[in-house]
Amino acid sequence: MDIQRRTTAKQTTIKLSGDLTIYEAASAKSLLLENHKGLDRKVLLNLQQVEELDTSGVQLLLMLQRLVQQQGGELETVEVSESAGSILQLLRCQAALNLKEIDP
Amino acid sequence: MAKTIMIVDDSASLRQVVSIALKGAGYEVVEAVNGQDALGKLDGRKINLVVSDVNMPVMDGISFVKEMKKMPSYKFTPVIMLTTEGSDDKKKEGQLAGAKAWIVKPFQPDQMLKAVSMLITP
Amino acid sequence: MSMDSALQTFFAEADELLDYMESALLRLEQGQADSETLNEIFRAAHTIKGSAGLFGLHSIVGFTHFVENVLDKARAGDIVIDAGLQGLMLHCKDHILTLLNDVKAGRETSHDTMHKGEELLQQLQPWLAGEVIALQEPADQSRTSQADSDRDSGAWHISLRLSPDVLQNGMDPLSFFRFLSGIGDIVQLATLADGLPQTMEEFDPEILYLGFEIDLVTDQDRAAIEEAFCFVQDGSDIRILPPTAKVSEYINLIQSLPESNQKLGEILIKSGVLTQANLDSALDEQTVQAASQSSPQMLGEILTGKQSVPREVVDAALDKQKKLKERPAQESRFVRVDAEKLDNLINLIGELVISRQRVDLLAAQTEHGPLLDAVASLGGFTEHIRDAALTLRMVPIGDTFQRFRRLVRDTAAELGKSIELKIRGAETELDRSMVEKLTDPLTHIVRNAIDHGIEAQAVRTGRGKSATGTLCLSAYHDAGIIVIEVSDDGGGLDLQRIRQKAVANGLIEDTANLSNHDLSQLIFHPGLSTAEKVTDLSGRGVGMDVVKRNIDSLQGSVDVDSVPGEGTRLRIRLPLTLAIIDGFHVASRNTHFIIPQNTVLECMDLDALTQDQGRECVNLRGEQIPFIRLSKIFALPEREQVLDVVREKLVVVQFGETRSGIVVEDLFGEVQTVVKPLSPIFQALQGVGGSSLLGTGDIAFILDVPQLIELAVRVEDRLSRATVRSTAKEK
Repeated sequence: MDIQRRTTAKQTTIKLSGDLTIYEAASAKSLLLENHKGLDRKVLLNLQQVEELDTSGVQLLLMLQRLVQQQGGELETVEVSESAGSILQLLRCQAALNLKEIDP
Repeated sequence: MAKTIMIVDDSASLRQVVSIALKGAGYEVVEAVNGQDALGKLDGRKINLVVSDVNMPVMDGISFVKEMKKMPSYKFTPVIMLTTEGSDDKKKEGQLAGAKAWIVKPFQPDQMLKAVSMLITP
Repeated sequence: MSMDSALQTFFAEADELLDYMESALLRLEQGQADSETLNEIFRAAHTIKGSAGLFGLHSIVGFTHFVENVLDKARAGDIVIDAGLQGLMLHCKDHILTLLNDVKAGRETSHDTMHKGEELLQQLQPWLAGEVIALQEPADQSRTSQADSDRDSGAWHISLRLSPDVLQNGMDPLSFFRFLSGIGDIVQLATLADGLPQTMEEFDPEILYLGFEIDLVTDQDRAAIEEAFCFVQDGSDIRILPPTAKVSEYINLIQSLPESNQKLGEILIKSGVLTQANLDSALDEQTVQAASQSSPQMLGEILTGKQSVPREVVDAALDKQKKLKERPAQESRFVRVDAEKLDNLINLIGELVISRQRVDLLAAQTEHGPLLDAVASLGGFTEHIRDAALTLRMVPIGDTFQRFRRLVRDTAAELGKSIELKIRGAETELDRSMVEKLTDPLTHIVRNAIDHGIEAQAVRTGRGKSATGTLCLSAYHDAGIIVIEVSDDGGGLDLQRIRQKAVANGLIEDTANLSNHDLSQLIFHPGLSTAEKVTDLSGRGVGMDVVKRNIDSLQGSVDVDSVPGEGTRLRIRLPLTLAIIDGFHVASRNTHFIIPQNTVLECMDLDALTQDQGRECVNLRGEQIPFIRLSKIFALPEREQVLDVVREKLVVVQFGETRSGIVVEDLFGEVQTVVKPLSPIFQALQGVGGSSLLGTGDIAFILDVPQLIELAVRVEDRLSRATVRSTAKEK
């Protein structure tokens, strides 16, 4: 799992890539820990490069959403890979992660 | 990518039947004849599920699962253990080792496929 | 087919296990009652029972079950195997063998055998305290569905608060949902994140905090739904409410779950199982609980109420369920068909192809446009049918490869070598009839590799290799053919020795300048064996030349590559099927013949070559080539009118190392040939392997080149001896 964070005056983009499963969960958490400050703004979550996603990964994303909300920001999922999209669809988490477009 | 299942059992005919059933359902299959052989085959390749007998020569199933769960690449790999009825002690030991799914022998290939489908999809 | 081969494996394995069991039981007699011996006896019975169960061999499972139980007790130290029990166990072992032999022979278990089994179990009784002994067919293991009172048209509601450690155990709730989707339709699902901790620091990413609320429409019963969670029951809170659940049951559910009542209420309202009014009143009446219980309202009533949308959802889902039901179940996607029936079908389709070509010709003569169109489209379909039918007979090669596991293990063990067999491309398919004929040559090649290819462990470690050798069987498709490779990481071919031998045996000139590759191919030459010591494994008088001949007869080819010290690779190329071959179309006296293309070396005018007088033999670039005239050996009628001088042509063919010529009058060139086997009454016919129909409607006979070559050589031998005699007489 890899994380890229880009911050502009208006918004922060968090781009995750690679697998996001139970195997990566621990390292993913530490990566998010390093990046969990300053989310009091519009946060765009990009999952276009996420390959494998499982429940632990979804749980991590929901945790991120909660952090953003706690800091007064707003999380929006902007792009999502096909595989990740189908998982979010199965768990009906699109709304929770503020994913607007649902690719059929 | 097809999911890969490792079947560990000292019975060649059991491996063959299970392997035919699993391949028919679209899985890749890796076979091992006992725990030690199985550990040797955990060489970094992706294994999505392990189906292992308990009582095997050289290294039994429970010792194998204990060892496997120590390996970073396989510590979260789900395990289905094959057991005979009435081995509750073994079951407890296996559960502690991290093998939570059990199938009682003798079983039919369909039962195996069903159990597998509860844990992974092809 | 593949299950049959597994059954054969089982028979071999069971025989072996029974042998182990017997020798271990006999060791007990010598006072060797250590835990490993006891375990070995137990394991033999255990494995036989487990595998027999897989094949549905109830007679063996039923009996062995009790034997196993007694042995389990002995293994645990609960009972001691005294002389009496040891003798009894030997009888039990014999009885299992009898049952096994009955199955092997396809016999029903006789009454006597059944009786003997019951007697043995009676004798085992003292060691089976409390167990009810009955030798009967086990009850059908499939679930007898419980009272259908739970069933109704509507959704089951499932609340899941799984054990926090499920993720660590490799169990992903996603797979349970997918499984549920297999037995029904998930019409609603809500993931509840309320359980997540407040801060990232507290968050353990390997713990499951999420809860799930699911509505499932299914025609299965509760047990079938519960089964989806059978592996995660420990430490989990799983609640399943049937479609017939009362409002009060939902209210109870809401109140007992950790999430807020309002939130859960919303989910259930969305599901359509509760209305806002139900929820409000129920929550209001928390203090007056009796009220909700006194007026039990059925879910069905709510559904038919104002909530029309979920009703449709439910209906649609039920509809889908029905359709799914009508489709054959997943397990019956495969149909087992008698191989003979399949062969018969393919033969019939061969007939169809032939009569269609006849129709083609007749239709062409009519010059009837619409008829010709119809015939053309019929032709197209016929070809599709033929291709489809041929694929029916294609089977993966994996099962054949798998059979070598045992061989490799046993042979390696016998030689004290350690060898791992790797299999690649097991799914590669080829014609069933080819698979059967491949077993022998492959067995020989594999034995050779183990025997001569892979070095002894000490040699390997000495060479800095891993002690365990690797043998790899792989298969893949390449441009319409299948390639099968057998490679090992052994010592490679000893080219020096091959050369010496070849020179000594006169196969090559001492001065011959051969590339390593060409030198390697000499191992396929008859009689060249390079092993220092003839072991009883592969050095049984048959060498690689037999392998080559086997492969040749399958219209295939074989070659070998080898790197000294690193290994050897044999590569076999085969056509995908023997039902269609590339043929070379020739004719003699207006009778058409097909020569398999892969045997043809070259063609030339016979007159241009020097023939020895009185002998059926030509000198081709210094080599004596015997030949036969098709017109002569098949006694073909003379041509009625010979307008031109007929120039005879010589087709040079090769099979194995032998060459010979076939003399014909006309050469037509290469054709794709559908092989039709000869009917049984013609099978004794020498030199002809089948027939085929040509586009012209003429029948062509497919020549059996190996037989013809043999014939040519024999005839020439006789003639040359006769010539020698007559020459001697003249002198």
